[in-house]
Amino acid sequence: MLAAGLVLSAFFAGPAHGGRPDSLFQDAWGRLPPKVRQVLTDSLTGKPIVSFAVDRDGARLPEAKQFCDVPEEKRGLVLARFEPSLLGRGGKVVLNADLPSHYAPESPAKEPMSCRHGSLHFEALASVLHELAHAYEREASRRGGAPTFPVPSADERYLRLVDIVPGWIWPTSKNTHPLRSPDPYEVRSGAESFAVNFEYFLLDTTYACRRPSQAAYFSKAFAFDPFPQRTCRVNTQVYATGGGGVLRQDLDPARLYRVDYLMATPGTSFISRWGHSMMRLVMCAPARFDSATKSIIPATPMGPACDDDTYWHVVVSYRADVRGIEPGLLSIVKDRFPSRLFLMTFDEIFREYLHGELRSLAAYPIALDPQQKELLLHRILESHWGYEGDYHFLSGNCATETRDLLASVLEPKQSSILPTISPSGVQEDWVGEGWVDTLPKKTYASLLPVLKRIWNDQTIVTGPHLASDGAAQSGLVEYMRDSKAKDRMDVLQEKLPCTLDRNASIRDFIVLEAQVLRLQEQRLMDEIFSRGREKAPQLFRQLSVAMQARADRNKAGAYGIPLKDEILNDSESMAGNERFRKALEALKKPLEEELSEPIHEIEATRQNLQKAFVLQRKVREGDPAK
Amino acid sequence: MTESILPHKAKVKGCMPMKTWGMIGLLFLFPLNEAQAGYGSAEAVMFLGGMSTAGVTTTTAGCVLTTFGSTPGAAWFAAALVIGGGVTITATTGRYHKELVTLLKVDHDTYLAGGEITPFLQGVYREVRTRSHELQLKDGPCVGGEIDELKMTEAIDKLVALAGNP
Repeated sequence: MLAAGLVLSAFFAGPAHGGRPDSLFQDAWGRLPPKVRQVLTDSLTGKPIVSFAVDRDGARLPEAKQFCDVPEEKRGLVLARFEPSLLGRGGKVVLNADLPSHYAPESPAKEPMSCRHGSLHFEALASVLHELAHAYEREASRRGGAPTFPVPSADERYLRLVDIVPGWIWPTSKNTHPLRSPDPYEVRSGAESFAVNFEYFLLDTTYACRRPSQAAYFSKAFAFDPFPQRTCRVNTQVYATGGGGVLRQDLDPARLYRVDYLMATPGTSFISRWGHSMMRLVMCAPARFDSATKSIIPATPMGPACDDDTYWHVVVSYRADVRGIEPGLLSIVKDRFPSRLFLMTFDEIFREYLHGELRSLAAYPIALDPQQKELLLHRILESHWGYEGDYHFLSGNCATETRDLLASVLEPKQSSILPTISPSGVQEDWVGEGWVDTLPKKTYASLLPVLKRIWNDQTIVTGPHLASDGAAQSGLVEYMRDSKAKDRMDVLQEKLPCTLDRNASIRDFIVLEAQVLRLQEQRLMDEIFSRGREKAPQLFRQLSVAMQARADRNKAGAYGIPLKDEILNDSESMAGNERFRKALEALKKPLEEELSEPIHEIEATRQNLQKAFVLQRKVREGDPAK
Repeated sequence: MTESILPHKAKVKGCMPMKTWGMIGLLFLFPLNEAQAGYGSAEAVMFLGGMSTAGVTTTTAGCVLTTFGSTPGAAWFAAALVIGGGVTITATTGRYHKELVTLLKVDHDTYLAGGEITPFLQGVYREVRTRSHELQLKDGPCVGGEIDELKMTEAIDKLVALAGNP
């Protein structure tokens, strides 16, 4: 029975022309992959099994200019819906009555919009395609589904590509706060994700460059490429965090030699008790010297030499932003933090873990063929630009995120009732899958043994010498935390006349002093953040905004992986850094008085380093005065 | 005998064409701040690899080397630092040069003291190795692939001195 206000129409009642529902449907129908049309067609009559209607009682459509200004949740507007037939196959697509009037094939850009599909004309087409996607999935399921008639929302592989995971009751999206989404409605369910993305797959010539992994999935599933002549390319340029700022890197698949599972050993704080899961992209340097031809050549063909190009390696790390917060045990269990995929230089990770946190790293090569490597790169880019989930320390952490990322590329053979949630557990699972070896290919030792050796050498001379390893370590930690720059320099001056190798003694002093400086600066920054959050909330907010803007590095208004002209250029990026610096300075300013002591100590430690450099040079040059 | 690749009075002749340098250099933005890099001022500075952006208006890399002072050996090494670190130093003021050199110095001492080689230092070593083939030094053509650690240390010391230390 027909609902009140609906006007039913037959499919293809007349020739296609603007403003008429039948021409709108005809256009949408013509854009569908043949396989989808086949499923939605009655094989006996050759006619579509989907009818359409307009809902004259629906809310009025806003004008194109206002369409994007109203938040999705406040729009209260249903553009179209699919009503499946209760008795049999097919169903009915019900359109908002305003929509067909905006369908204008003769001038599709007439009513431009700054969001979604770019104009009301395409919005009308997309609405129909969206509902036809739902109709297709229902009918394909009735016909037995994959492999003949793929049903993406029921396909685990598709769901993994769109970050939908099994939930307690039904699958849910991990991408709770999607970034650069064409339509946040997509994260509601697998079915909506498919329908939204299907719209863009069929209407947007750049979709394959913005969401390459899904485009590849659709093309394969439906044996169909809507835009084989497309001219865009996936933009692999990214900004990787490094040295406190960013480093522009090209994640060109042709330069990706290998991908490692990178695991950090556990740290001492609550949040690092389990270690940390990451991936390392072993990128080859863009060029290298060829001894045969004595010239600079591109880095291809790639090979083991890329292992030494560590400066170009990029680390993929899902992280919770907990700067300025030291989560307590309760917080770890119950709270959620924003989780995003960060790209960082290996140099940055190296310094953070080996020097800053005195933790070691182990790299396990992941077995990937060239196509899998390319797909993984695309997934990384899609997540980097589009993903923000909830970092939950016990269920949605670095290990589970990294596990899910790889599972979207390599289909796991094993599944367990209790999913793995620790970095070492993920590594063990992957050994079982045959994706990584039991032993790492390479380990990077923390600086701790070196520091302990230096500390032991020093205490032999100055006392008290702490024989046990534990005592030496706690003595070292205490020394680095509490000693004064002046006292440390006095120790060196006293020690030098008694030592046989003065050069080595000064070198050890430099290493220890640099470590003290790192810790002092980290402590100061933590103090600035935690005190600033409390005492200067406005300035803290400004800093957070600047940090966020600095991290995003893309221009607003588009979706997916930004095309080349949609990421910031170098001067815009530099301006972002400058804004961040000023915001940090502004937050620091009111705290300078109360933090004068640590600031003074940092300056004194720097002076110690410079003095040691000079001293060492004089010793090497044989200055008799030294 | 393996000749030093970093002689005291080496003269750099072999220059990588600007185009190649630009290709490598423009890949990088390398800001530092005191909080995370651990050295130097709090300014987040972006170093662009393009030589012209560093206030150096020469057309070949070899000419850039000479901007680091009158000791060509150290200057040549500074270029390796630039390439290895993927940064261009603001030669006009030497300010960020000093920060980078401090970073290099600490990394190198840490390495000699038994620590792992940092990616930054590895990048510098890599450039020293690979580029040593094309550098025609005054003392004769250098033999690539080997790094004389003493000379490396000496060159870093010179860089530290050139970076503005007394």
